[in-house]
Amino acid sequence: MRKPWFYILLSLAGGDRYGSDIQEDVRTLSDGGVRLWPATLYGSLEELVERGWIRELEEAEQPDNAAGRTRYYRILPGGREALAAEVERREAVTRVARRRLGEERP
Amino acid sequence: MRAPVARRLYRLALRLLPDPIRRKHGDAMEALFVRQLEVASRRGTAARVAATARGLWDVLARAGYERTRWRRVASPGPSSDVANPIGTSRPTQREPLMASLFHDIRSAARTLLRSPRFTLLAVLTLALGIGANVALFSVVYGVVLRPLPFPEPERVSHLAWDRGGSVPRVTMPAYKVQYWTDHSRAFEAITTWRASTLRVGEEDRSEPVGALRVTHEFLDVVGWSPALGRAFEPGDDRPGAPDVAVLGHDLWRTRYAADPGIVGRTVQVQGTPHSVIGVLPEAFEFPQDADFTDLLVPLRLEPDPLNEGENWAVLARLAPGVDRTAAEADLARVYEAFRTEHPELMNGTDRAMVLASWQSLYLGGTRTVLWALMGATALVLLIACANVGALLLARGSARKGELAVRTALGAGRGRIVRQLLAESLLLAAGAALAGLALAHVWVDALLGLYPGTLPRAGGVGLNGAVMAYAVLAAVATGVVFGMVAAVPVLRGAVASSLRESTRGGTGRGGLRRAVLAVEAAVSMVLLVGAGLLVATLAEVRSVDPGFAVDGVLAAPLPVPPGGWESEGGMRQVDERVRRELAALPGVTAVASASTWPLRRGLNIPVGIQGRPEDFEGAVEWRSASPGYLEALDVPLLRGRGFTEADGAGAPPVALVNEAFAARYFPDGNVLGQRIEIGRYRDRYIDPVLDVGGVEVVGVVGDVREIGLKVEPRRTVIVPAPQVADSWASPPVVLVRHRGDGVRAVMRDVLAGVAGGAAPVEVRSMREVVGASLASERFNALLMGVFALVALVLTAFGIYGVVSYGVRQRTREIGIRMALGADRGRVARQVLGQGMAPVMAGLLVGTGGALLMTRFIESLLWGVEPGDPLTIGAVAVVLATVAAVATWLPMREATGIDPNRSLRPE
Repeated sequence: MRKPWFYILLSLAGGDRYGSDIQEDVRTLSDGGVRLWPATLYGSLEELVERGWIRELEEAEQPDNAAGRTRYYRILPGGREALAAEVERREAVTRVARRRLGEERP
Repeated sequence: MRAPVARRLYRLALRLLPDPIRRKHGDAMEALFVRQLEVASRRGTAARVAATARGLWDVLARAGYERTRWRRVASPGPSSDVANPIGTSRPTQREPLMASLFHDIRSAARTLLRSPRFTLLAVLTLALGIGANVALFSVVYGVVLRPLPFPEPERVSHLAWDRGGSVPRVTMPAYKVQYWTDHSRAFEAITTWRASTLRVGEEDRSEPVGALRVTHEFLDVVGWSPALGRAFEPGDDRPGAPDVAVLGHDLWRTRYAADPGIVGRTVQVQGTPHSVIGVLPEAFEFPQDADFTDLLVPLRLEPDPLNEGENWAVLARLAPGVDRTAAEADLARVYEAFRTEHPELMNGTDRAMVLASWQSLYLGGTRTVLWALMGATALVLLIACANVGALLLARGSARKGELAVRTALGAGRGRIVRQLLAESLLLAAGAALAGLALAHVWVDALLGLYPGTLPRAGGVGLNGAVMAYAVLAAVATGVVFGMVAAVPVLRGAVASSLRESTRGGTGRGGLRRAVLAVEAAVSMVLLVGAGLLVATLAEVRSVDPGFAVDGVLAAPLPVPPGGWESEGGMRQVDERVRRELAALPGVTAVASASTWPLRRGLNIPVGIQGRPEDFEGAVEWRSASPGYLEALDVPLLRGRGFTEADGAGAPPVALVNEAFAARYFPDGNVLGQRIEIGRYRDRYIDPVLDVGGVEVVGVVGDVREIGLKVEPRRTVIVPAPQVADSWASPPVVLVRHRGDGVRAVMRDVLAGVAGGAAPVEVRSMREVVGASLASERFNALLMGVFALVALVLTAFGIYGVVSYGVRQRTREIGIRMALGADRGRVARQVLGQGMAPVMAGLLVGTGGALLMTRFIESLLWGVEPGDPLTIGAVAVVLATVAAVATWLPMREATGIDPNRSLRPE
């Protein structure tokens, strides 16, 4: 899974968010290591919508304090599945890595 | 990089994204980018620039990705069930082409990143050229090309007199203004105006503001309506009409707190109540007198046929549907009527009334300077292109294996040329981005260095036109050097190169030599231009001004805080200050005068008593105290200077300069003659002095009063105490001194007079002379900088091409040396390889310089455009630089070891 997708899904898994909110959340999540630049961020959001992993909220569903033209996104079950699969894959890799580093006995 | 630039660039880059995504998210992306930029700015400029670059790269990369993704989605296949990802209709025709373009760009980017040193060098070289060129364009656009800030600016025009010179005469007597206003039919409105400083507000709280006195049609001509209230009406400028005023937006906001109820209220202007009828809009601009738009008051033009003072500029708006030809025909008709009606008011010089642009009247030499500099930067850019073209050629040879393989695998010639073009365009685009940043630095430097004030400099900046120009420059640049690199491919050289690769030469030497010749020729033109401007500076600097430049200090006499009368009058203050200064140690002479040399003084008509017909225009007129000649070290040639006895009641006397004496008294019999100062033909129009005539008591040396480049004018000097009170103006104090330290003491003495109420500025005549050279210095400096950049680029170009040639022929040279060729011959050959095209270029460049320097002829002084000395010197410099640039690779060539070079690849 592409890195931006992973982090966006990860961020949305914690609740509905809008663009720059996601960007900041991802920065915090990654300890400042991942910075989603605007074109990547919004482009990826479109791709995720296209895949049916997330969806855009209708205006009526948005939080009351949302500014008029802000687009909120919500993770869909498909997205959770994909995220879970990715996390599992990463865990597997991590396990292998730990083993090779000798931190964990088989 | 300033915020607006980064933002504009970003907005521009966003256009690369597919329409639907840009429409949907463009604003949000921009907002987020700006926020990230702000965060980065906290860590300094470098971080900010880096963030800008990163953000732009993000968009570019994404654009490439999106375009190719779309193609994938568009192509029918199992995954095309998600046919319309963003919910908008998708253009089907264009996308594949765009996608393949992006493919080209991506692969070009990969290629370029594989050789970062080459890429960096090419981008920097081009950025240097593009940056300077775009900077100059933005100045030329802002100052010269930009339309006037009036609605339908093409209908607004000055009316001016064609007198056969290159620039029409802007101003005319009030009587003629009125006549043309009354009789012409081609115009919707005609106006004239005068800029002046007026005091606004109650006596003790009044402040000086820049005001325009205007005739009532003024706002109709410029095409602006007040933001509040009404414009002037026909009655407002008639004598006896109630006093009214229109406030400028700034004044309204600062002084009247943007009071919306200001219309109808009364304000004091010069102590007289004026009722406010309107407020100008914020965007109002009047470039003719840009600093005088705080207040508009009606102008009561007095069309007295006897007043021939050419004091009024005329601005008119063409009636709808009237073109310039029809308007000029109408002006000619009025001219005929005027000629018949007032033959006595005709003068010999006016040929016709014409429409003239603001630019032609107000910019004068500035236009020439700016265009010349812009031309120079275009030439620098051309050299940069040639250099990068040569680099690409060399690289093309190195890559010929790769290209040949690609051809063999079936890539068409067009495909390869496209690939090469994509690389050059990408290089040019990178260079344009870097160039825009450089352009900002350049523009700031240019505006900072510009002597005096550049009209409309406030409008110089990165606007749409400049961006468009930058894009155009980048594309043109990319195509130019891209084609240089593509020529061998078009010629089919690549296809044969598989066979060739084991041999020496490539058949591209001709092209490379041509590049060298072009660079040398273009550098020659630039260096000759710069050389001529430097020579001009030197010539002007070496002029004898006719007065002492060193050891003379000058300062205006400051007004005491309580006004002149509080200290017993201006003349008393003047005398007291002179006495104080004369007593200082180190001071050898003190005087006061109406002005110091090289500063604008007054002129006045002067007649010779008994010779009413002998008149030849106004002469320079100065008033001075005793000691004037000593203070400035102007030689007294005959007769005497002023003494304390030449006071207010004494018989009026005058000094004249040599030029005056030679013109009116060629027999040398000057002393004792009487001249009538202020007499114009048969009447006194400026009664400065006693009307009975003034006795000439001395002849003094000529002084360059107007400027170092201007021949000394006929000049008359009169004793200050004898000048009528109405003509007396606050004098300047001149001090001649030995040694240092006088300047500070002099400032203290004057500061004592000013009492903190007025600023005191003491300057040396050396500084005054220096300031008068500001234009020449600016021209020489900028042209010199561009020429130097060109020279350095050319040197690198020659070095690059020749050393590349040597490396290419290592094998051949090795064989020849192995066969016994001596080093000298090899050296001569390599030298010839570089120098022959340079020499040809110098020849062509000399011709080019002779042609091009005519355009800067008006900027030259004391040196001819085709000055053989300058051309010769430049040729020698260029040849020397070229020789050094060739010598380095030559040394390399003669050091080739046959053993190593012949080893198989």
